[in-house]
Order: sequence, then structure tokens, then C-alpha cells
Amino acid sequence: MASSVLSRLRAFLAKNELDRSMSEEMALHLELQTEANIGAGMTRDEARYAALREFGHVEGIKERARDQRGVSLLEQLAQDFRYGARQLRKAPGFTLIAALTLAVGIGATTAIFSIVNSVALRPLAYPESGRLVAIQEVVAATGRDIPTSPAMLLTWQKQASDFQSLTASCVTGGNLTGVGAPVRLFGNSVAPNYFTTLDVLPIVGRNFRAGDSEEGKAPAIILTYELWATQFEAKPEVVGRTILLNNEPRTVIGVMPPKFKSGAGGPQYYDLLVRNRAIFGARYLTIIGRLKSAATVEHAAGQLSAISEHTQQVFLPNDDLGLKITPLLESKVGGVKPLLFVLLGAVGFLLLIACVNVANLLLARAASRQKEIALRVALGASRSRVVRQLLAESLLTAAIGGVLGVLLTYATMAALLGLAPLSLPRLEEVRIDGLALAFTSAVTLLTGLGFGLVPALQATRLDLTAALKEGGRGAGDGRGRRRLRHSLVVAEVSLALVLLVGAGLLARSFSQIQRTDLGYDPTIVYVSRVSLLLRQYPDDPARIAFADRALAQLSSQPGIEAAAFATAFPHHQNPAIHLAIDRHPETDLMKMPVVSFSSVTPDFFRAMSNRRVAGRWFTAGDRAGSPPVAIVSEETARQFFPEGSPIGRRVAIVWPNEREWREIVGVVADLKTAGPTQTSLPQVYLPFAQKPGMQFMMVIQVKPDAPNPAPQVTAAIQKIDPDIPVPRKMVCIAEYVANSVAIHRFTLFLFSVFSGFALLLAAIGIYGVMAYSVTQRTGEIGIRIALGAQRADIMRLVVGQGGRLILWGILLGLAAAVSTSHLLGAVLVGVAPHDPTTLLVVAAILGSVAFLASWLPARRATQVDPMVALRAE
Amino acid sequence: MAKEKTDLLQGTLDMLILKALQRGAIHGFGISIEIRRMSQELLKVEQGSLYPALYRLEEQGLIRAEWGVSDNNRKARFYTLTAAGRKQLTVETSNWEQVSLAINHVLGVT
Repeated sequence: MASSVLSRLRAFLAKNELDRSMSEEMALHLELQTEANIGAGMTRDEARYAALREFGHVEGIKERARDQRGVSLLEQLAQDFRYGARQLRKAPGFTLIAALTLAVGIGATTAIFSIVNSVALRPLAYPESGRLVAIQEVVAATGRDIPTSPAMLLTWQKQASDFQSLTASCVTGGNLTGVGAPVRLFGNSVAPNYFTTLDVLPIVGRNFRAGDSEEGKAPAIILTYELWATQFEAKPEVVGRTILLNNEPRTVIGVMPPKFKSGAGGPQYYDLLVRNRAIFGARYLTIIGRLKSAATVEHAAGQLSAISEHTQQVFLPNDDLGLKITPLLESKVGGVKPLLFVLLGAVGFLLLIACVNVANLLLARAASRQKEIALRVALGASRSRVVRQLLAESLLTAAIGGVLGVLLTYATMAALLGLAPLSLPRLEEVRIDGLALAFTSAVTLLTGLGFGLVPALQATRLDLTAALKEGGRGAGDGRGRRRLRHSLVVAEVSLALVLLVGAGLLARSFSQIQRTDLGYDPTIVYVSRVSLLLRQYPDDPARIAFADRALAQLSSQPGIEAAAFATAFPHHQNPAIHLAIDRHPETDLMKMPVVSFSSVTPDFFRAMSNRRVAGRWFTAGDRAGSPPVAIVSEETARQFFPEGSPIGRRVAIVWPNEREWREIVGVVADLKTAGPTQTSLPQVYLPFAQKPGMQFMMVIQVKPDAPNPAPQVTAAIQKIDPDIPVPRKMVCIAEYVANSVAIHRFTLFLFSVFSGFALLLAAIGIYGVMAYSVTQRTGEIGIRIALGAQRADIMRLVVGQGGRLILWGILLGLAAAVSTSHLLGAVLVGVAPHDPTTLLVVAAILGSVAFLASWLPARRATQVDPMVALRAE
Repeated sequence: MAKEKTDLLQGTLDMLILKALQRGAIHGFGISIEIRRMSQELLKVEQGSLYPALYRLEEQGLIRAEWGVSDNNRKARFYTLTAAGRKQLTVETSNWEQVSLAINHVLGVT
């Protein structure tokens, strides 16, 4: 087989060589024959002529010789494509429409596949990243994962033999000063073996090593490439230098390679976790492990669980915690995978519809080319040759569509990614790579065959005599072909319906999300992080004093309605902490409930326009030294005080070095600060003056229609302490909220675009088929009108025909939608996958558009002039 | 020139070419002369069939071609039988004999 292909190829390439040798040989033959003829008594001219006549057509012979050597197939193929290209050039309108239709389908498919591939399929950019896993402890009752303690990590590291290494990180941050304007940096504090576990080492400088965390030395930090490039102009001499982070010296020891990306909001630098006996049992670590090459995820999970259970039985009896081990890739992108695959499915539908549309176009065109095809068959072309020829045309069309589609993708990818939510993991890694292009080529080839094969087979199944004899228009749009065209319309309508139902469900789901009560008005609240420096604010009184002065300044600024500080503005990275409750004899830390907590200044609730459910707000009277108080959220009251009002009850935040009982003085509405899809985490508030922090959020409520308050805030803060970095722009919480639903909006947007195209294509398809059918039936309609049919009758005839197809399409589409929409279940909020309203509305919309598309040709049919129609027959 | 055309089946032409080459290396024109001679002027090979057939047989490895110099000092391709060609000739000759025997039976010649 291979050798025969090779020989064909060789023959094809050696064509010229062969031609030359054959020409020479035949020339000799002619000459010898001429000489023989002269010998037989002819004159030279006669002899030459006779020889030539006898010899026959030289080129034909050469052609046949090549044929016999098996060159034919490749050359025929080349011929088919040349001929196909000529045919396409001859019908530029058809080619353009078909190619554009396909370009939309193929382009959309390429774009979405690129995203799916880059985010969910391509391995993480670490060596043997398949062996990396994320390890999370999970509260069995709620399924919520909670951070791990250094104590647990150490136990695992000592005992778990399935892991090559286990490492940990936690979020940190700091103010970088002394390099241009002060900036706030995000960082990760990591265990010393963090980078060796990931198996990515700094490209400049060195990794962490033993001794880096020794006391008395400036702590070491490693920069990401991006930070190095943006803040330090990528100068190698930065390594070894000391920089100021939170006004404390840090020695830069290395720079990570550029491929070590962390994405928006990810760490910009890494330092070492602090060894602190006091927080040895506290939960604040995120764990990553590298499995040994022979170990499986399941076995490793079993091993870790066993160790955890044993440890807990010995030290901290607790059967409330589970363990979850997921491949690192899965843990990063698992959340968006369903959405991405839903999008890929949607785009597949769009591509199918595009194919069906082009197939329909081809069918119509095949009808008008019937004579040409019949002629070719009559002249001796085999059916397979003609099919091949037609397929070459559709493959060429598909190829044009494919190229246009890829160009379209390249042109729109940046805009598409601009729309993509920053929360989409690995967004920064999305690119159109070789795999995506290979995928597109395969899709293009398949579409070419897919939409071309049926029409080609259909076109070549013809009755020669009839086709050649009958005149152009009547030329048998046979029953079979009509049925095929009609089923294609039905298919198109039902495919479009499925997509539209998806879009409808997503739209309903999104409007549900938008309508969720957040507990505050996000559009008038702005936030920004503030970090105080330990040296300047060494103790609580200094911090409280700062807060008092700053808030007094801020409140007096124009445009600011209310200003407050909160140590944790619970949007992401809620600090979770154990809560002790009176009348619960629980003294075991691990069995205590976990809540998110924040120290807030008195105006916090006013700034958040929070609703008070019971009790009172904090006041200026809740100061250090006054009776300790707390405010809880409704969710906290619901979960932990089911027996009645929590007012007057006592709780204690269990901090490693503190457990102070506080009286609950108020209950407030839940704040969904992480956006509408957030599940309510129980929240507990303390007065800032009783438990201040060094890092907190500034929460500013502006007066209605006031602009971003950043300038006033900057002025106010700088007046008090010019060393504190202030943002050029404050973030409106509405942005956080928008970001939190961005992935839903993104899906909805793409789905809407896809289904919009689907609707358009379906309408075009129906219009095309109906218009074609009206043209075909002009004569018949003319006769009907001549025999007295009214315009309304004709209308009914045509629209009825279209209506039947549309109805079938809608029925089939509804069935398909009902049986596939559960796939959307994972991404829908507050709406059932079989939501009857959506189904009905969508069917009605599609029905009307489709009806309109068949009504236009019907109207034309009623305007048929019987005289003209009949004369044409 | 007299033109009683005798259509040659392709397989027959191949056999005739192989047969003509049995006596040694000859060029294309020589082969056509030889076939005419062997058939006592009854069979006339059309050049349009001859050269494609030669190239095909060469491709099949039944004959081998070499450039040489003809009697009148012209460059010409000389064909010779290969071992496979010789074997093929034997097979085809016996086939032919059987077939023609059968046909003769049918036609009642014998």
C-alpha cells in the first residue's frame, strides 16, 4: 500500500522526466517509420505524413502511458480541485455565502476550542504536572473546604509515603516602597520546598534554601517575572538587593521564569512561611503535593485520610472532617469546566447548523447544475468521479471557510478574551495553539465532507435522458431531493431551537442572579485596602488613633456619605475562625463552628447601608476597656442560635492567644459581598476599637451620583500619613459583584451570540428552501390562479408547507432540548433545566421568525402573474 | 496502406511484446516491426498502445529499458526481458493456448 502510494507520487513528480524520455523515443519511432516508408517508395513528405497519421495523437498516448503507470489518481485529484476552484470562481456569490456561513461556525468553534483546550485540557506548565494534586480538608456537613494547619501538614509530610513531597502556601501581601510610587503587592508565603515540589526553579538567582528563614537576616523573597519586569525593569542586579516591603528589608534572591504565571490577582512575589509556635495549630495553609510516579490519587487519598483520622483520634477527636484530593489542574479549573464544555457543545450546534445551511445551498445549486452533471456522466465520467469532483468543490469551500474562520478567530480572540472574566482560571494562558489548529483542520475537513457528501450523492443519482432532455427549470427536483431539503430545514429549526432554549435558560438564570438581594447597594460603595506599618503603628492604641483621625478626615470630605474601616471586607479570602458559644460546653477547637469575622468601625453598617434585624449598631462607646461586644449576621443567628434571639448571648472568637467572651448586641442582614452566587457564610463583627488590625479595607459610601472618591481619599490619608500607599482609583463593589457573575455573563453572552447566529441561519435556510420551492412551482401556482385560486389560497399553500416543516422542527427541537438541557443544570441558578416558560417563549420566538421567513416567499407566490407563469412553461 | 484492423486485447498485446523481446534487446519501433513479422503482417500494433504498454511493463518489472544507439546511430531505448518477464511469458503462452483451444472448441474450428 505504502509502496504503491510512493510509486504514484514518484510517477507524479517524475512526470516531466517521463515525458521527455517518451517524446524522444516516439520521435525516433516516427523517424524510423518515415525512413521505412521512403524505402517503400514514398516521397519524404508523404512518408513523414503517413508515419504521423499512423502514430496518432502524441499527447494522448503520453497521457495514457501515465495513466497506466498509475499517476492518474493524484493528477485527477489535482484536476478535480482545479476544476472545483474554477466552478467556485464562476459562482462567487454562492461561494462567498457558503464560505462565510462556514467561517462563522468554524471560527466560533476554533475560538471556543482554544479556550477549552488552554484552560481545561492542556497540562499545567509544570514538569509532570499530572502528578501534582491539591489536598483539601473538607467539613463533612457542609462540603466546604477549610485550610490546613502546619501541624497537620507536618504529620502528613512525615508519614505519607505516596508523596514525593508535600508543600504549602498562604496568601500574603505588602507595600513595596522605595521603587517609584508605593505599590500594594500580592504575595504568597510558601514552604521552602514549594518550588521544588512544583519543579520550577528561578531563572535568575536561586531557590529558597535552609537558613533563609533564620532570624536576624532580611527575609528572602522571590519575584515573579512580571513583577521583575514591571517594577524592576528586568535588571539582573536586582537579585541580591534589599528592597522594602512594609518598610521592612527583604533580600531578593531570585526571579521565577515567565511561564510561571499566576494570573490576575495572583501572587507577585513569594516569601517563606513564618515559623510560629503560636499558630502551629491554626488553619491557614493551602496544600499541594507531588505524588510518587507509581502512586495513584485514590491510594494517596486513602493514605492521607488514614493519617488524619489517626492523628485526630489521638489528639483532636473529630469525625467531622473529610479529605479531598484532586489533580491540581482539576482543582484550578474544575469549577469552570462544565461551563466551558457547555459552550463547546453550543458552538458544535452552531457549526452543525452552518453545515446544514450550506448543504441546503448545495442541493439547490446541484439542481441547477443537473444538466452539467448529466453531460459529464453521458460523456463517460463515472459516478464516483463526479462525486469526487463535487466533493472537491465542497472541500474547497470548507477550506475557504476554515481559513476565513481561523482569521476571524485571530481577529476576535483578543476581544473575546477581553470579555472573559478575570476569574477564569488560566485565562492568561489562552492561545490558539497547534492542537487548536489541528482540531480546526479536522473540523474543516469533516464539515467539507459532511455538508458535501449527501448533496453530491443526491446530485449524481439521476436519470440521464430525462435530465438532458428536460429544460432547465423543471429539471427534476425529484421527490427524494425535495424530501432531503425539507428534512434539512427541519433539522436546522430543531438545532436552532436547542441553542435558543439554552440561551433562554441562561438568560433567565442570569436575571435571577441579578435580582438576588445582596444586603446592600453595591453601586455607591467603594473599597480600598490600607496597610499600616508595624514600625509606625506598633500597638493597638496607635492603630485605633490612626483610624479615628483618618475616619474623621474622610467623613468631612465632599461627596463622601460615610466612611469606615473593616479588617476583613468579606469578598474573597474570608478569614475563617472558630467561634465559641456560651451554653455550648464545647471546648474542643476542632468541633467549634467556623465563621468569618471582621473588626469594623461604628459607621461600617451605615456605609454598607446594612439592614439591622435586631439590637443595636456599634457606637463610639464600644472602645478598648468597655464591655466586649459583637454583632452577628442573620445566618449566624440561624445556624447557631436556633432556640431564639442571640441578643444578650455570649460568643468568643477563638484566636490563638485570646478567647474573650463578648456579648451579642445586634443582628444584621447577611452581606453577600462575594456576589449573588455566594452561599451565606455566618459572619461575626467586632468593634475595631476593641480588636484593631494593621491591614484593613477602607469602605466609603459616596453621596448619590458622586464620582469615584479616590482623590478625596488620597488627600485625606496623605494628610495623616504620606507613607501609606493609596490607590489612584478605588474599586466600586459593583465591580466585585460584576466580576463574581462575570463567568455567568460571559457564558450568557456567547450563548446568545451563538443562538442569534443559529436563528439567523435557520431563517435563511427556511427562506432559501421556500423561495426555491416557490420558483419551482411558479407554473403550478400560475395554473391554480388561472383556475380561480384566491391569493389567500396560494398563501395558505406555501405557508402551510413551510409551517409543517417549522412545526416538525420545533417539536423535534423541543424533544431534543428537554433531553439535553439537564447538561446546563450545573450552570443554572434559580431556574430548572426544563423551565416550561422558557421552552414556550423560545418556541414562540423561533416559530415567528421561521414563519416570517416562509411568509416572504409566500407573498411573492401570490404575486405570480398566471399569464407570465404559463407562457414560461 | 492496407488497414485490416485487428483489435488486440491488452493482455494479448503484453504477451506479444514479451514474445517479440524473447529474441533479444530491441527498441520500440523494432518491436512493432517484429510483431508484424511474427504475425505474418496480420497484426499491427498501434503506437498509441505500444508505448504505454512498454512503460507499464517496465513499471511491472517484466522488461528492462536501457538507452543505447540504434543502427542509424540514433539514441534509442532498448528493451530486454527480465527474469520475471520470461516467467510471465511462459505463463501467458500456456494460458493463451488453453483459451484459444477453448475458443476454437466453441467455434467448432477443430
